[in-house]
Amino acid sequence: MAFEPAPDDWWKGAVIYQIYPRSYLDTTGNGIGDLRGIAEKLDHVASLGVDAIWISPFVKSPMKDFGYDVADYLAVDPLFGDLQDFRDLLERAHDRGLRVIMDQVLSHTSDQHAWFLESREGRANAKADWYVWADPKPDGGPPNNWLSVFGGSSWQWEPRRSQYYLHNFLREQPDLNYHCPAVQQAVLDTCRFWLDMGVDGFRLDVCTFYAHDAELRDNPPNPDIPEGEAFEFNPYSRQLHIHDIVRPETVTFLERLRALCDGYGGRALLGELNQSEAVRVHREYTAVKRLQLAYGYWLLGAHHVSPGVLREVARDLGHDEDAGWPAWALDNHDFTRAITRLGAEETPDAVTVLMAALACLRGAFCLYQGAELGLPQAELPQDRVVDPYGREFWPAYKGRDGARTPMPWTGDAPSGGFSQVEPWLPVPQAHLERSVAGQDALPGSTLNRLRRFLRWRGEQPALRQGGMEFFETSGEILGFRRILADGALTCAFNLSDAEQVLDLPAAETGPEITGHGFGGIRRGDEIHLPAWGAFFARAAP
Amino acid sequence: MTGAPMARPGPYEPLADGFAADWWRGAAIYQVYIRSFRDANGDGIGDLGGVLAGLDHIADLGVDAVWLSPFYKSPQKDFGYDISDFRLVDPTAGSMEDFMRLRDAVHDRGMKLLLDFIPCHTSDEHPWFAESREGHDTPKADWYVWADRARDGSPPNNWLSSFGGPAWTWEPRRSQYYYHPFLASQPALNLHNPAVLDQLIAEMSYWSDLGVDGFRIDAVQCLSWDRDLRSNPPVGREGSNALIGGGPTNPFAAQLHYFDRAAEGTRAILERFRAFADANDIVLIGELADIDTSQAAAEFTEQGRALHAVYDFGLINCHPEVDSITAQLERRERLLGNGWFFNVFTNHDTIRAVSNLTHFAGAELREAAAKMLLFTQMTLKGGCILYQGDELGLPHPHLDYDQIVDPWAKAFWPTFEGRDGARTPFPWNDRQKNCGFSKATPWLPVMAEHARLCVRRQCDDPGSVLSFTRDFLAWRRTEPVLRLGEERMAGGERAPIISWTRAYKGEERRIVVNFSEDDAFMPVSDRWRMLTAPGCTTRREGHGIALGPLAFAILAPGS
Repeated sequence: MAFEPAPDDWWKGAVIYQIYPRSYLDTTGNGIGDLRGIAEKLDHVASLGVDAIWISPFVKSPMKDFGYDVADYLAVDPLFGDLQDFRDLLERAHDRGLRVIMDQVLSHTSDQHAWFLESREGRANAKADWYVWADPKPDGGPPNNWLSVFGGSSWQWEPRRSQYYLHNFLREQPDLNYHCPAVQQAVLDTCRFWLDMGVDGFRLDVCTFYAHDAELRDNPPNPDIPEGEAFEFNPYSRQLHIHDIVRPETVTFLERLRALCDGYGGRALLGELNQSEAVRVHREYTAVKRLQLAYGYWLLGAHHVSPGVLREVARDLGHDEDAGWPAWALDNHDFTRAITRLGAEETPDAVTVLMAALACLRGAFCLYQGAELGLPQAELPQDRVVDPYGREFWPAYKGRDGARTPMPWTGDAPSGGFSQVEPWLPVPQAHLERSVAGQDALPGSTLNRLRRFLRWRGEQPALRQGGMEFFETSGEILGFRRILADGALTCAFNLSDAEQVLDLPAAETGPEITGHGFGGIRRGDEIHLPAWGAFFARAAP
Repeated sequence: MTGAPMARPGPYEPLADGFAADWWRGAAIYQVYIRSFRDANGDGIGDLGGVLAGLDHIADLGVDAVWLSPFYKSPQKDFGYDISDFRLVDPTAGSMEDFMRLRDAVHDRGMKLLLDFIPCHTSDEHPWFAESREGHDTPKADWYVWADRARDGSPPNNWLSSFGGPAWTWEPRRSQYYYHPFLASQPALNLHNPAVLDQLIAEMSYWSDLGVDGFRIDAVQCLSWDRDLRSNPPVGREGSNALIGGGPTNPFAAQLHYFDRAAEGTRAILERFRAFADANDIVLIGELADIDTSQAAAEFTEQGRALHAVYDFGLINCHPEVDSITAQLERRERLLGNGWFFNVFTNHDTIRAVSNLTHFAGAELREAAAKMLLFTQMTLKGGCILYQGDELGLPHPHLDYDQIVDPWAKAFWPTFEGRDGARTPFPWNDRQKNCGFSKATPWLPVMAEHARLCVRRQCDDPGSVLSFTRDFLAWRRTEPVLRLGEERMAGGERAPIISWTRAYKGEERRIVVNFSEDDAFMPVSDRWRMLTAPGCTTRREGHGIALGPLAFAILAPGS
């Protein structure tokens, strides 16, 4: 199928498949995945019925944070290939009707980026204020109390300048100074390079972190410590992050970036938002002329997802016509895989129905590689952990490697067809048992169920672009309607492990639609939903 | 000026009186940095077997004792100053059998054996820390220095690591910070805990039972800290600070280290160590840094109560010119009282003395500078600790960033080159691979500029720095006044000459050093006569003595 440029709002209701290139397919035999590997597996991606791929960073990097530390925004890292490989990948994706969203890490660079190497040399060079430099306090300590997400102070001493620089993450990831007009221009030029090449959008890494308080005021202590083991271990959670991040200058810059994209047409911005004040931040960042899509951590860190939780989040984010569009995500490269996190290793259907529900809520849906197989989190021994975040907080937090292990294409040990050599992270036995080839042959597999559902879902315009309203249900059922001019589509999902019955006359829903594979049926005025089942019906206007 | 090499001295025989019975007073000690001395097992890293193989070189110098840098089990994050087991020999250094053989060989040659002891911290891989970090309920929960976070999640106070960054690191297992005055992988032991002190003494006892004669105690200033964890005040505009390492930009210098260095309680800890030492007839020589060490030296070595002696970085870190060196020596002399102090011009933590204290001397004068510095070190009161390579007059080499391994250098590069330059392998024989240090690739490069100064080239050259070191140490043995005598700096403006007198039991000596590359003249009354000693200027000229560049002389009363 030839790629037809779709309307500018293709992103509304899109299903976006996230590829972590290190772990997709290794074609060079170095144990690390690469761009050609992605190109080779595009038929698998297309078979899922998704609309776009988001590729985690593949540009030049010393890989201290596995690509989220960019040393050159305009070159492909040799581990992954070269620019021609990317152009080929782009073309082959477009040939299959897949949009390509590129991960842009614009809040910080690597400390090996030429910009930083110049900036750190002294206080008078042309890039002296491209990063966030500050004198020490009189006692020699850092200028304020800001902490790094990855542990310790977010200020690192640079003897060449006798100053500290800011890094919200690793010390090898100095923060760019968005108060400097030349930095904003350089970042926009970077994005223009890729837009000119034809990428369909950007996923913006930690895009609330761009600007900082120019007065460098201390963050106040956080009186309400966020609950949950995902945060308790980290002193970062003890501050209200009102001065180090989410500064007003950031959205002003995002408007410039949006205007740049709009000049091309059909390009989308998908932003990663931070934890605190997520709802307010989502509304602010997805307002008109800012981000088309954004995801927060509402579900990514959750250990329990109920219909009530989903309703509450969706309502908080707003779903009237003017509201911004969330990107629903249950999994990505930063969080424990949902199958494990939600306790569904023995009952993967519990997560399959959840993914189906998210794909039907107003918003885009991000599907992370391996989620289509129902992969559980990989357990790694300490000596195999390479994630600096996990090394810092081990064992209270074991890091992100367990969600980043290579894709199991076949059931063959040791690496499931990912690589001819020992891969950079091991492939667990449990993943080999859930390989693509293995599931491909099983009609009821998670993979085949998701393929079927996502293809079916793709043919329902209301599920892509319709408005949304919830209706009353029992506690275990999530029910809502997606409304377009040509009718209303009723969706009901049973998120429990027992059959549920919903009283809902046909007169209110219109005729049942089949083909989705989730087993709900109408009996008279009742809708019968099997465990982890779903029901759909469409009414004319 | 140098005579033929003298015969190797016999075992040291204590002088008659009680004071002189202390072998260590005024002794000459040789510091071996094992990783860089000689590699016997072929892994590119020096080891105990290598020290044994090179021991005759040390014995031939005529020193009284050998101090071995740490060879205990260690992950080597700070090259052995991060111990993970005090009683095991690290595999890179060899085996316990190697140690026993070396111990016997040292004693057979009439020398004493000192080990490096690091009581202030361990490696984070030490089982004690592994247990302590697990939680608040383990028996070793308070063996290290744990503290809750501040309300905003920050560390409990403003203390900095002298190796860069805060001195506190978060431990997620306990949800607390731990204190580390150096690397984060070197957690500080809690010596306020009597159980910890008992355990450390047990560790020392293990080695003293094996026959070692004493310990060099690492970083004495870090034994104690303020139990209220008060923040240090800033130095401020007018303030001054002790000279510290880490280069000119180390933020550590911006604080007055009232609460994290040499804090209250240090003396009590040292007295416990001393009681153990006296009971076991061993000697304790402490390292002092980061603080006003001249002041602390007196307190920590007050006769018979705490350490036997200390050494510091006062001269090493002072601006190397005659006035500041003289002032430093005068201050030390004034404050020391009945304490005891060793002269150290180079060690494994510093720039090599020739390139530091006599950085002004051109390449053609470097040999003369090396001899002058050795002479000064051997004639000042206290005795000297010679660092391996000092006896060859090795200059301090420059290493590129991709050659360095010292974590301290990496933290402050390029404003601080760190300690690797003093740790490059010892040049034995320029006709052999890696100058005879190792058959394998050495852990640090053997410097080309050191090859021509190797032992082979110097050992039979009567004019070499090596021959001077041997000859002067031998001559010094005939001069009890240089070993034990009191010291008085000569007052008055005499730059570029530094001069002092030593006096003991009616004997008196006057030492004169031209600390410059110019000729210098010093008026000396007729009541002083020139002594003929190795390397010394011996001719009077008119009413004084004329000293060529970097020349030196010893005078005695009489005509």
